[in-house]
Amino acid sequence: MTITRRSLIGGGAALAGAAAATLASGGTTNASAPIELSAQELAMLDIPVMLSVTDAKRGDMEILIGEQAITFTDKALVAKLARTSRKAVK
Amino acid sequence: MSSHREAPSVSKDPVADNTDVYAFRTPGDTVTLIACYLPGQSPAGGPNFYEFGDDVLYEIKIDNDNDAKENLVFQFRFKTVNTNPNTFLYNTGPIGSLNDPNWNRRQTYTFTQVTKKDASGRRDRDRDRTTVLGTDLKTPPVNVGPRSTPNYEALASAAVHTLTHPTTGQTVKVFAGQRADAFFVDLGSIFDLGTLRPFQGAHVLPLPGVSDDGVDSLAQANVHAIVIQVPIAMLTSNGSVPTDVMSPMSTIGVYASASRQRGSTIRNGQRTSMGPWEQVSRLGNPLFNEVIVPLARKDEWNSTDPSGDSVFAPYVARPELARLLPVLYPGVFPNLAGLDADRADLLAILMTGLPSGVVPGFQNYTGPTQADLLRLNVAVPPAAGTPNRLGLVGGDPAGFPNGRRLVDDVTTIELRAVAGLTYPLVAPSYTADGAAAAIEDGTFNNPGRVLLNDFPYMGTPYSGYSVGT
Repeated sequence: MTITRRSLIGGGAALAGAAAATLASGGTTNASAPIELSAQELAMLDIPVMLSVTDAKRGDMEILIGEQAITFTDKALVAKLARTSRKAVK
Repeated sequence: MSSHREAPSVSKDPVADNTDVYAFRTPGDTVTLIACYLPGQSPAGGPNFYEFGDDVLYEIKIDNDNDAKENLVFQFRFKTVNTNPNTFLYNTGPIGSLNDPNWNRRQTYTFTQVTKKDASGRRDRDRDRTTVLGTDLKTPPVNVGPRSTPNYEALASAAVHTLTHPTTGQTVKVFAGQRADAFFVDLGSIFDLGTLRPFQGAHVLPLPGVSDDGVDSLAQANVHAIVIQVPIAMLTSNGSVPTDVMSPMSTIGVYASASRQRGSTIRNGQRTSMGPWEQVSRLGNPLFNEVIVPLARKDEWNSTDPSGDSVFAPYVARPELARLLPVLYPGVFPNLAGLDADRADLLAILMTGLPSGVVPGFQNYTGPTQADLLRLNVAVPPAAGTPNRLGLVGGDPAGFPNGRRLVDDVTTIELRAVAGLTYPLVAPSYTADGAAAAIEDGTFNNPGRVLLNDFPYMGTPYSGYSVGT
């Protein structure tokens, strides 16, 4: 999966899908593992979604979807976001 | 202005800028609540005329159990449609009705009541209870001009909706749309180093030869107003219509707000919002955030709830304006200059309500929790004759700071209170300066200001064609 700055801040479902998959897999990420979203998951994310890092050091994030905010912690995902973001600011 | 563009952040977001809140008794044991947004509208607003925000949550909130937390919330969500995709015009001919095909850009709204889970009388206390009072309610067009909106009053009247509460059967009136701004203030003068034109000869920087007449900066400005009229019994905690002015159950606290969702994006020209609602503007008492709260904390104040307002109490207890008046008007306020004590009068008026024993036969105390709420003792009947523009200070308990009517000269009332006029209520040994009973900005008699005798009470908006001619 390619994470771009646009998908990070742009409300696309891709990144949140990754986050949701990460949550489902127990809070770890594995860049080499194929990620397949179920039809149900795809349908669930068929509305604008935003992922926000609220505390990078702690690995805290929140997903903004509908009128809700879902908070979760995943240091590995934050690290991946940081590494990917570094490419954007070079 | 009362709360027009009063904070740095919301001054850049007029659609969500809450400008004024009014709450007053009306006939038939009802209360009328008004929340205004979108300040300083130039009536000639084309081609994109002013409108409510589809992405804003507008709310009027009621505390009826004296803890400064809302028990009852009225919510308004708007939806905008273009009916003609092939024109750049707001209207392609005269708009004769709210269904006229000539009208291209229309707004409807949903009106919802939320009863909070901690409200008195609730049996199911696990969650807030939501009741939709009306859907697809029509707003009127803006007042474009005599060719586009030739009978504006009829259009506005058609946008007054009388609804029946689906649970209680109570009657509720609602209107949302453009109105002439009822607030009046000499903004240009006051924010030019605190000048009050009628007294500018006494200002530390006098301007000889200029007029002393106040200039109402909002004399020809429109706003967008949400006006509801509800039975008193719908607002009180026990569903009663109080008649005992001195009963603690007789006073409600009111404030209005606007909220935006936490996240938003713009892509291909479309803005999308998501996440929880975050309050970006609020208002209870007029001028609280405008004149009391320091500039550096105004955005913070807008984002917080009244129940946490004790952190702002020091600014009420020692208002900056009270220190400025003796400096700006040398020798005019000697007693105020020597007053070195917390202003218990202002803390009561603005943050707790006046307890019994301060003004004979009156109270609107809502307990010790300090909160900027507009407090209305609903047991006080409307003024029998002509309302006194100075409200309670002028001996008329039906007016500000007992709620707020459209006629109340809140700028003058608050100016005089801050100048020390009300301090003897809590410190009888203090003698207010003579000027404290005289100062004003001189805008009350603006001849162009028009109010209606009936719902929605705020005047017909100024016409884009006519203003400036």
